[in-house]
Amino acid sequence: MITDPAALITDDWRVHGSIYTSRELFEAEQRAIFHGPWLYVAHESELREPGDYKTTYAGTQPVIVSRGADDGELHVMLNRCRHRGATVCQAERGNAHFFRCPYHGWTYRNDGPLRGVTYDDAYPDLDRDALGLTKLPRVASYRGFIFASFAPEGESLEDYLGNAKPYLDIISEQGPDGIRLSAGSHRLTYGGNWKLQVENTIDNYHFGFVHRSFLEVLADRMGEAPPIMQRILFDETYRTIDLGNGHSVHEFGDKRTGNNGGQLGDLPFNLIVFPNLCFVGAQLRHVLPKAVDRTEVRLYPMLHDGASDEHNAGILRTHEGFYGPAGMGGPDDVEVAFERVVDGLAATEDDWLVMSRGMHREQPGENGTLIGHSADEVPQRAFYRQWRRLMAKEGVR
Amino acid sequence: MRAVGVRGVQEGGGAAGVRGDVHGTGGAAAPAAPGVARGPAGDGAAAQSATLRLRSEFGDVAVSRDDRANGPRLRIEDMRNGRVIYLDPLELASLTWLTHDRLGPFLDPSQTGWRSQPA
Repeated sequence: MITDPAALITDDWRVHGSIYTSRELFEAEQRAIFHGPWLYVAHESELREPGDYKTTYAGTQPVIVSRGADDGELHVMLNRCRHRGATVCQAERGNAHFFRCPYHGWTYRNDGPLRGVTYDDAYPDLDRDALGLTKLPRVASYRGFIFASFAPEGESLEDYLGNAKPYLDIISEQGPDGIRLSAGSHRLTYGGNWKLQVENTIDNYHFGFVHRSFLEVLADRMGEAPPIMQRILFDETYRTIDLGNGHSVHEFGDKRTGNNGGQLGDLPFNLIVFPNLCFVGAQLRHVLPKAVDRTEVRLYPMLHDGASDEHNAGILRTHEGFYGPAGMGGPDDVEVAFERVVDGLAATEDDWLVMSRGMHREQPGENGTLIGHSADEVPQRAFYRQWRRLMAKEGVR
Repeated sequence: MRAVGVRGVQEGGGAAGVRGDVHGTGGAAAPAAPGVARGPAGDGAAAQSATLRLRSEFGDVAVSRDDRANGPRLRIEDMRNGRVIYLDPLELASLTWLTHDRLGPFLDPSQTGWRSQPA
């Protein structure tokens, strides 16, 4: 067992398998990565009206994101009754100015303060002021994307997003009046580590293998194989970029006008915002770690505000076609990129993975970025550079 | 689930309380308090508008316009316990001056349906 997280990644980019399988490392990640740095929690389109709320997770911790009934401000608080610990809100989204716990009826204002308990004569000295829902101390929004942090102080959200900001700008401007997540999400779960899904979000190297059946169907329909792999391998306008702070992007040509073959609603790039927010196609993907070997992924199609219902229905149908439970692509990723990797990682005699693809040809770009070829493992290295920085501070207890 | 139709919500006990805390008045049908009417069981077909049903994970109410009195009123029924209140236009207009925080005392369960002692 390697106890120094920094030693789990070598200078020649071999990565130790225990980063996906060690319970101790998972717990260290919850402290180092999911308890302090900024975490995405919601999009403002999910919380447009006072009283709107949604439930989600900050790391493994259940949270409520709400828009205050009277102040209209955004609040993020732990979804845990201060009495006996039950989740106070159960619905994935709703509108309520007060929340009442289903266990014993303790009632909170929707921005946290305890407003009352049932049969309160049994609590002559209850300090209600100290028993509000626990707030996350920092909440900030960038172009509609809401983030929260467990740390009362630290770098600003804009500094944290850094070079990822121009891409979030473009995403936020996809529709005539922006984007909205009003279609909700569909979820997939798998019995493997959360990082497998994040890594797979920008991995053009796998596309021709894992998604071969998809390419064959397209070839049947179109009369010839689409040139996706040729463009990934030879189109120099397709590129991967380490944006710093763990963020990375794959551009399909120009970051405003590029495309990956023209599916409706598709973004001109794939984007990873460290640690667990991803953008692929027309989808926002929120990766939720549950345990070292259990992950839930929520996929939110991004509809275009101001566009016609027909246009947005087209985005949904296209999204379902590839990512849905019976889609042409998503299930293959679950089987091969997650489940088969989990099975393989049980073989630990030589417990190292290789993530060096293209490291010799990374080129420095503007603002400290590193630019590589489309199918190089630049995004994986970008992710694990930040992972190593944060985990090295934490250590394994 | 109780049927809700344009002929009005049946008032009185009925199935009320089945979904609530049967040990507390907040969940069971309660006697009417002064000013908090439990409307008479009645037809009301012509005097009561179509009912709006509003449900969340925290509450479940039926709301309708009631014209059986000498002037119009808003009728609200808590579908979890059968309690009913009628609000007149001035009361409703005054509500618009509230902040939600000032409603807080009404949301304290010990001040409403979950008292240890009867009101």
